[in-house]
Formats: sequence, structure tokens, C-alpha cells
Amino acid sequence: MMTDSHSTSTPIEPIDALITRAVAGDQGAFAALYDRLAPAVYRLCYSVLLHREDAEDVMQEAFVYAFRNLRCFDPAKSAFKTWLFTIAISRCRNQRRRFTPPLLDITEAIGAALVSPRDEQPETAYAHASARQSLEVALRRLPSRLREAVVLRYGHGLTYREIAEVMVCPQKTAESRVRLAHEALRGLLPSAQGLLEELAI
Amino acid sequence: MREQERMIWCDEVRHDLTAFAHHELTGVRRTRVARHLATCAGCDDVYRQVTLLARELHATTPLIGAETRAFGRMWQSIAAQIVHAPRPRVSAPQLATGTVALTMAIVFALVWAPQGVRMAPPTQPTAVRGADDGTPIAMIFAETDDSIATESRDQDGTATPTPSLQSNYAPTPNATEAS
Repeated sequence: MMTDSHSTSTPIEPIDALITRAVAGDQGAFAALYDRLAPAVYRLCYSVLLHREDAEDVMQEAFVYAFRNLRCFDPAKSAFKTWLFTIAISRCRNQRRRFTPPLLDITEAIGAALVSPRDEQPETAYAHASARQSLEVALRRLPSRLREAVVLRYGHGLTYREIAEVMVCPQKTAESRVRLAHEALRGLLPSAQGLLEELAI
Repeated sequence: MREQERMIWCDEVRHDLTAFAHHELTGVRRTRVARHLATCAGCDDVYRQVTLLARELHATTPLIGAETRAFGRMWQSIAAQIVHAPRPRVSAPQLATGTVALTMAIVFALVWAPQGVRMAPPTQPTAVRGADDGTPIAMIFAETDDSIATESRDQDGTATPTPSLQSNYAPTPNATEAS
């Protein structure tokens, strides 16, 4: 069963083995797959949508779809994570197309004060929150496709080929989107050197 | 001329700088950019800015959405949807019942259909008769060629020519008189 704290005592079972067990109907394998990939998928969805509730909804939709269609996954074509990211990005695009009135997310408004991902010193936590907030503001001003590209590249370390797979576009297009996003962020973000110094506290 | 060529060269290299910083360039392109950076101070300066921003983005982007969420609660919802997903499989009793019902339907149709539906010739078209004196109001289809020209009567008994099928080809005498 999924828990919020990750156990490190048991050896990590390979994703392929978990998929095989899940296809055979093992509910524990589904839970283990979710346990392994949910934080990354949520991060992806949130970084693209920049809205907590929407990101949660989309993440759940993506997992439900993936688990129901697990037999369709072909490991020869792509990694499971890439396949799952493709589904998540597609759902994020659907979510953006739906009309939703702009609502104030109170947790986002006070998030910097409430959220502390790790046990950090107050100065470090503040520096991280400040850097993250600056980047979120900049990401909101990027076109959605460029935002997806930069999040996949820097947030999840995907190669250009993997980005192309997830965004369902040619590799050259993925490369161009990363480059354009990079150029746009150079103008949108405050001094990179200053932020890096803040992060180094 | 050389300066102009160099500017074009710089533009091409700067176009590739992001990919170069990401170690995504291979072969000739990578070598070309590396050689140019070693000789061009302007492009080298741009490259340093690109790498600085890349470092910042590598450090900051993973922080977005990284806070602990109620993943356990979300799993409950996902697990419920997977468990209650519609199963495409059909059980053996359902399959047997369906097969028997379909076979019976086909048998009944084959046995009774020829008796129930007689292949009769088309019925003769009839004129619509008036309520009072039985005078035809309108002839829908003519029984013979002579009766194609038709007329209808209003409630006060006035005869009005009615266009017939033949009137598409030749105007009837009555229709000519009326006009």
C-alpha cells in the first residue's frame, strides 16, 4: 500500500518486474509502481499546470489510464517513465483546453511560508522558496509548449530524444523548444548568478 | 567580407549553444562549436551565460512541485477506479445464454418469416373520394392514361385542376382553361 514515507529497507524491484506482475493482476505491483513514480509525475503535472488541484487530478487520470492500459505498454518502444510522462503531458494539455475560471489557490499564495520540502535551515529554505517562486513566475509567462520542454529537460533530466517522445514531436522540434525556452528565460529570470548564490547558502 | 562571414558563423554557433551546453551535439557540429568558442570571445561570453542559466534551472526546476503531497489519499482514489474498471471479459454462462438466444431468434425468423410476409404485387392506387357525393377530390396515380388529368373540388364544389404526373410533360386541357 502506498505510504507518504518511502521505505528504504527493502531492495528496489526493477520497474520491468513490477510491470510484469501488474499485468498478471498483482495489486501490490500497481501500488509499488505508483509509489515509485507518483512524485515525479506530480512534479511534472504541477510544473506544467502550475495549479495544485489540477495537477492532482491530472496525475490521478494519468495513472488510472496507464494502469488500465498497461498491456499496451511496449518496453521495446520506450521506457515506462517516458510512456507515463507522455500520458501525463497529454492529460495536462486536455486540462488546459478546458475552461476553468481563474481561482486563487490559497495554498499557493502562502506556499512559501508553509512548504519546506526537507529539513532545511531557515535561510536555505527561504533561498529555495525564493528561487522557486522566481522560476514559477517566469514559467507562467512561457508558452505552454516551451514550458513543457524546459520542465522535461531541467526538472526531469530527459534527453532531447526523450522529450520528443513525450511531446510527440520530432527531435529537432524538441531541441528548438528547449532553446527558445532557454532564451526566453534568460530575459524573464533575474540574475542567474544571484539566484545561484542564494541557492549556495 | 571576412567580418561578415564571421558574423554569420557566430549566429550559427549561438543557435547551437544550448544544445552544446546540454551535451546534445555530436560529431561535426560539436567540434565546430568547440573550436569557435576557443577563438571567439563574444560567443564564449554568451556560452558562459547559457551555462549559468542551465545550472540555475537544473537546481531550481526540480523544486517546483516537490513538496510532499497526500499521495496515499490519491492512491486510494486510483485503486478504487482500477478495481471498479469495466471488465471486458464475458463469463461462460453469459456466453452460453447469449448464443442460445441468438440461435433461437434466427430459427424463429427462418420458420415464420416466409408465411408472415406474402410477396404480393403492388396494390392499385385509388382516388381519394369526397365525403358527401363520392366525387374524387384528387387522383394520386392514374389507373389509365385517360384518367391522368384530374381535378379537385373545394368545399363549395368549385372544380380546380390538380397537377398530375403527366403535367410535367404536357399541360392538361383543364389546367390550360383555368390559367
